[in-house]
Amino acid sequence: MNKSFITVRNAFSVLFIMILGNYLLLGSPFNAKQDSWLSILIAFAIMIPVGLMFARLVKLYPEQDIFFMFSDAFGRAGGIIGTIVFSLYAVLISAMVVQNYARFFQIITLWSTPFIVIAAGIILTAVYLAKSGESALGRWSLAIIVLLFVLIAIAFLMTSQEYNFDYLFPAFNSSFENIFAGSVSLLALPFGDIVMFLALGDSIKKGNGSYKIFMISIAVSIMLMLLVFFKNLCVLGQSTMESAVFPSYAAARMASLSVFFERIEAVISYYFVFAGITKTAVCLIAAAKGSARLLKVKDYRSVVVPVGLAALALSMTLFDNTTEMFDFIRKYPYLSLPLQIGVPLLLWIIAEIKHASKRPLPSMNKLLD
Amino acid sequence: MKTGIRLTSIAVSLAIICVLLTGCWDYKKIDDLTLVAGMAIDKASDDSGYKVSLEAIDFSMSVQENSVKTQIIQLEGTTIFDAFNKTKTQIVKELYFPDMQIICISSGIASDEGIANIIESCIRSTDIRESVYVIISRAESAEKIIKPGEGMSSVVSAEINELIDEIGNNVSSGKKSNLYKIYNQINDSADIVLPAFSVKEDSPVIDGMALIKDSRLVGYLDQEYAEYYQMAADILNNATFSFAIDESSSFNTSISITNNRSAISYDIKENEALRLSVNVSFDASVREVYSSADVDHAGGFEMFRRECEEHISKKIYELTDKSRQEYGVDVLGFANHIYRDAPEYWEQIKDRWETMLKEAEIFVDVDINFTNTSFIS
Repeated sequence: MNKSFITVRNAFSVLFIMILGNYLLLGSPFNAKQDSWLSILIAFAIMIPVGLMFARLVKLYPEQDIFFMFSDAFGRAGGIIGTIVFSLYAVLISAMVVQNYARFFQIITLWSTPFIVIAAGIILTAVYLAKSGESALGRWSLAIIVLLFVLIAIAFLMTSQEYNFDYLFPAFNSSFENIFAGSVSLLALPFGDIVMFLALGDSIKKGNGSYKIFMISIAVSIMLMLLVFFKNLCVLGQSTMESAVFPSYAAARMASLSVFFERIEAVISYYFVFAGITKTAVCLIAAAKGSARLLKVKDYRSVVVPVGLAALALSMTLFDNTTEMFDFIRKYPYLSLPLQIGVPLLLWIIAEIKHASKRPLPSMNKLLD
Repeated sequence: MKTGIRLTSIAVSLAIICVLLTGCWDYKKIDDLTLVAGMAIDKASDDSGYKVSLEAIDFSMSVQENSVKTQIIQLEGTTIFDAFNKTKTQIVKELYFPDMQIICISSGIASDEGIANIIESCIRSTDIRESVYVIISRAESAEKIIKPGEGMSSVVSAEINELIDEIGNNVSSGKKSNLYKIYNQINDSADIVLPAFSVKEDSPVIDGMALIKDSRLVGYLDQEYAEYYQMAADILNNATFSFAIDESSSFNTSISITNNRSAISYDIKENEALRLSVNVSFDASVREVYSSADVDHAGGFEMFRRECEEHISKKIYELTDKSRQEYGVDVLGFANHIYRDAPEYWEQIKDRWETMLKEAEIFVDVDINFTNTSFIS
């Protein structure tokens, strides 16, 4: 099998889309209302060490995925348990992402189209992308990112007439609990889900700056998150932003350039689905790699289809309505944070100890030098 | 061999796509839709719900007569969407709301039930755009506002939409009021100012400003205050307006305004009472002067400027005072300003705000910078 590598630029694009895609669809947690931008900054502060930890893991295990790391760090039994848990978690995220996007389309325009048709459309495209390999996924993400920057610039320009900066005030009026609760939600979704990117660790060539990939994508995502948050807040106002199920989409509905150019929300909704497909594809690759390792299948691509079908089946039964979906998203940090940060932290500590013990002691001559 | 299999699978896939994916479940042809241009909401005849009148564009008649024709569809329901559903008994085509431009609410509903439920129902709907304008009818029914008069060939809702779009630009007429902005104000418990419309010679005309408190209509400010309200509320772009400076109307003038800027502020006095200030400044040019006073020399022009400033200050004071004393309405949004500037102080006074507003000292300062006197010196 020819191993498919991702370039640094494409790896950045994949991570960036994973973070920002979900954020643009679901918006910022609004626990701290107009002060919610502080939640984004706190999440950023926490994500710096977390990102460094992920990058360090990729560096400690060059050209290896997270499942190899589990086996190496936790031993055979621990590795199998870790692989099962993470594969199931990847399927759960895929199903959740598909639910988010399919529900979005059902709410905004496709009222009569059966849920399964929309969900299958997203999953099957993601399966095709996952089967095409990491390199194709990287190139696809880079193309999506260009579209994203263009769309964000258009959205900013076209909503500029509607900005009301009064909505940013009163500033610093929320309690720390509310601000921190927002940060925790952001850490779980979308930031924490980038743990899935470790499953693509074997596609990053040794020496291809893993620190650069993680840190730049987190920093750029945070900047865009802040800009999008301020734009949505200044356009929609606090009450509409709080009650809007999809705030970025709602803000895009206000966009107009005179009377000639308006209703860009249709284009933005297409972008949302592209981002959803990308994240689903990453999760499907992760789940397929885990399953292939468990089943001792050499090429993960041959198990992408069954994994995709499992994700589709799960997405059909996961939530009955949007209220259940958003209720689950509120509780999601309790389930996800141990897997997103706790397990990688344990993995990193063990990996550091193992690598330190394996490292040859410096010779006496070197010490004397 | 491999290429053959590949080509066959592509051909089979394309055949399946052609047969199965000819259109999704939500595909709609324009012929099957009735475009709704505007909606008027009145009380139902038995007072137990709503009578909804929709101005719908009739494509069949429009094509035949080569001009846009509209028809009014009316139905009653316990809720607005109940009324929409009942239209299915009247028309076969599906109602299409994303192009709707105005929602007109009758004064009866606005004063008795309030507008909160209607606004929430509309904003919840993905069909109705959040940017649609909301107006209040001062005519005997909201339906009259959107009903085309004899010989009218245009879409009435589109005309009303254009009138509102021009607010702040030459047509002096209250305040723009999108659905989502009203929703924000209702949730913030803020007082709301909406354009009021009535019917004159079978055509809808802007007729002052409707004052909404606690989401209920409490009264109107007459059209004579519209320009002054726009100046004070900082929503005036360019406008030419005329006024009589003295009571006897022997000194009439018209001025064109640009670069209008206004700011509201507050001071807490020693006895904990409030002093609310409105500062307005703009550039202006003289258009007309009907007076025996000589404004063409420095002293006369200075007197003219002072007279204009005093007149505008007086009118802004009047509209603010009338709104607070007669209706308890904070027309310029001082409450919102205090909340955003000093949220702790607002928490202390919010329960006695209405009394404090009525007792507050109001100070209006207008500064006019006359840039020219048009073509003559």
